[in-house]
Amino acid sequence: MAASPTMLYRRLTRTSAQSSVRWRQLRSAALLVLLAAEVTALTLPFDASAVAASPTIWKHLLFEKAGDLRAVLITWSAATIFLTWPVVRDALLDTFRDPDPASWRRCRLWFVAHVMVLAPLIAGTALRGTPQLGEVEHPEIWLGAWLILAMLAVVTWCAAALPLQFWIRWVTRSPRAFPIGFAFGLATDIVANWLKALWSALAFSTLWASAALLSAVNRLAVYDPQNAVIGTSTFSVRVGLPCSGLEGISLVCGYFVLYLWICRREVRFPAALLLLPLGAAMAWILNAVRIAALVLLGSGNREIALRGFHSVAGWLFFNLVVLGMVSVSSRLSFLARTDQETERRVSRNPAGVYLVPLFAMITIAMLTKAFSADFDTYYPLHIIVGLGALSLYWNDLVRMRWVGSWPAVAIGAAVFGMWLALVPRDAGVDVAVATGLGALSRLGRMLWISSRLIGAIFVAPIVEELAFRGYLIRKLIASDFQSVMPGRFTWLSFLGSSLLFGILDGHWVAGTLAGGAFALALYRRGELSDAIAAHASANAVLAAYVIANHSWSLWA
Amino acid sequence: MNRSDLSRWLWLAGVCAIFLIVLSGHGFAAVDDWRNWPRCPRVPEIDPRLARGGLALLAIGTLVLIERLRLRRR
Repeated sequence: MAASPTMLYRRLTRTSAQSSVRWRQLRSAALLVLLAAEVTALTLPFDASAVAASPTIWKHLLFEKAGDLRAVLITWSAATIFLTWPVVRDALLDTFRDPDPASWRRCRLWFVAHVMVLAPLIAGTALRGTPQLGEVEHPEIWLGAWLILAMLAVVTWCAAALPLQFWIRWVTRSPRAFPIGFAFGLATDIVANWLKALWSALAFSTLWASAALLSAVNRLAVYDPQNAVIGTSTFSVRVGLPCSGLEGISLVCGYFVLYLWICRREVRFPAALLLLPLGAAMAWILNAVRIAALVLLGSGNREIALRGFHSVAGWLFFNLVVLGMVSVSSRLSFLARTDQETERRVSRNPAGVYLVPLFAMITIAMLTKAFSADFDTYYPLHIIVGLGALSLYWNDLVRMRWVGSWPAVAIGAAVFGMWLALVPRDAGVDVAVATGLGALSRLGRMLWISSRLIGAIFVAPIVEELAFRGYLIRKLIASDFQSVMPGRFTWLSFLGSSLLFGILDGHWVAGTLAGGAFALALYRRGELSDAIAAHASANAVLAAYVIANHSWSLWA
Repeated sequence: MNRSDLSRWLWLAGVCAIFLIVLSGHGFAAVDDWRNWPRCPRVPEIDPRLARGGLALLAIGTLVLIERLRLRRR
C-alpha cells in the first residue's frame, strides 16, 4: 500500500529527528574520546620537578596536597553523579532530543575555543622537557599558568561536548547535590587522613598477629616491633604502613556499604550491618595470614615470594572476603530475606554457564601466578580447573548449537595477522619462559606445552566467548540477557564487550580489535559457536607461530 | 535511545573509568610503548596485569551475584 504524503512526511521527519539525536550522541562520545586522549597525552610527559624544587607556598599546595585535591575531586564527582543519577540521565535525554539546533550549533564555537586553549597548553607542557624551564626564575608562574589553561580547557570541553542548557539543567534541578557531594568528598578525605593515624597502631597489631602465626608453626626467628621487621632465619620482611591492612579494610567496607544499599530490600536490618565489622575483621586476619605466608614462602624461594605471591595475594584475599561473605550471607535467613523456595529458584542461575568458567580460570591463573616468579610452572592446572568448571555446566553446553563455518575460521586467521602486527615481542619474557621450560624434565616440558595448546585452542576460546559474546554482549542490550537473541547488534554492546575484552587481555588495542572481530563472527549467523571457532582458529595459528619461533611472549 | 540504554552507556563509561583510574595508578607516567600500556617499571614487583586480574575477578563475581539478585526479585 502506498504511503500517503502526510505519512511519508511524518516518517521522513521522524527519521531525520532520530538521525539528529544519533549524530549528537556520536559527537558527544567523540569529544569524550578526545578528552581521554588529551588527558593521556598531556599528563604522560608532565613533569614539574623544577617547580617541586622551588620552596614556595605553591609547592606545599600543589605537591604535598595534590593527592588530597585529587581524592576530593574524584569523590566529589562520583558522589554528585550518584546522588543526581536520574537528573543527569533525564537532562542528557532532553538535551539530545532538543528540537532547537541552535544550542548544538553554539557547541562548535566552544570547540574552537577549546582548541585555542589547548594549543598553548600543549606548548607549555612540551616546554617543561626543555632546558629553558630550568632557567625560568619563577617556575611556579609557569605551573600557575598551566593550571589556569588546564581549567579553561576543561570548561570549554564541557561546553563543546554538551550544550550549556544541559549543565544548567543539571545544576538547577539538583542544587543541593553539588555542595553535599563536595562535603562528602572533603569528609572522606579528612576521615581517610585521620585513619592514617591508625596505620602505625594497626601495623603493630598486624605484625603481632603474623608473628603469632609464625610462632605457631615454630618458624619465627626475627621479630623486631621497633622496626616492624618479621621473619624466619633465612628471610625477613619489613611491614610498611601501607601493609597494615587499612586499605583492604576500607575497600571491604566500601563494597559492603554499596551492597547493603543496593540490596536494602533483600537483606534484614540491623543484622545485615554485622557484615561491616565481620568483613573488616576478616580483612585484617587475612592480611596477617598473607604476611606470615609471604615470610614462609620467601624462606623457601625469595623470587616467588616477592614477584609472585606478594603481588597477587592481596587481590585474592580481598575477592575472597567480599564475594564469599556476600554469597554466604545472602543464603542465611537471619541476614537475608530468603526461604527454601527462593534458594531453589536462584540456585539455577542462568548466567552461571557463561561466567563461572571464566571466574574459575582467572582465579586459578592468579593462584598459580602467586606460586611462580616469571614462568607459570603450574599452567597445566588452568586446564584442569577450566575443564572442571565447564563440566559443571555440561548439560547446558550440549544443548547449545555447535556448528563451525569457514568464514569464522577466516576471521580467526585475520585476527592472527592483526595480532602479529600489533603485539610487540618481549625479549625478557621469551628468555624467562625458555629458561623455565629448560628447567623442566622432558615429560614436564611436553605436559606444559600440551596444556598451553589445549588451553589456547579449546578451553580459552570456549570460556572467554561464553563470557563476552555469550553473556556480556547481550547483557549490554537488556538486563534480562536471556531475552536477547544471540547475534543482535547494538553499538553499545559491540563496542563495550570488545573494549572490556581488550582491557582483560592486557594488549588492549589488539585485544579490543580481536574482540570486535569475534563479535562479527557471531553477528554473521547469530551462532556463538562461530565466535568460538574464530577465536580458536586465531589461537591455533598463533600457537603454531609461537612454538615454531619460540616467541613465548605472544602467549603472555 | 531510551533511559535504560543511556544508563547502560553511562555504566559502561563508569566501569571503563574505574579500570583506567586503578590501572593508571600502577604506572600512568611510565609508558614506554602505548601498545603495552599500562606498565610500571618503577615498581616491578607490582604488575598492573595482576590488578587487572583482581578487578576482573571482582567484576565477574559481582555480575554472578547481580544475576542471583535479579532472580530473587522476580
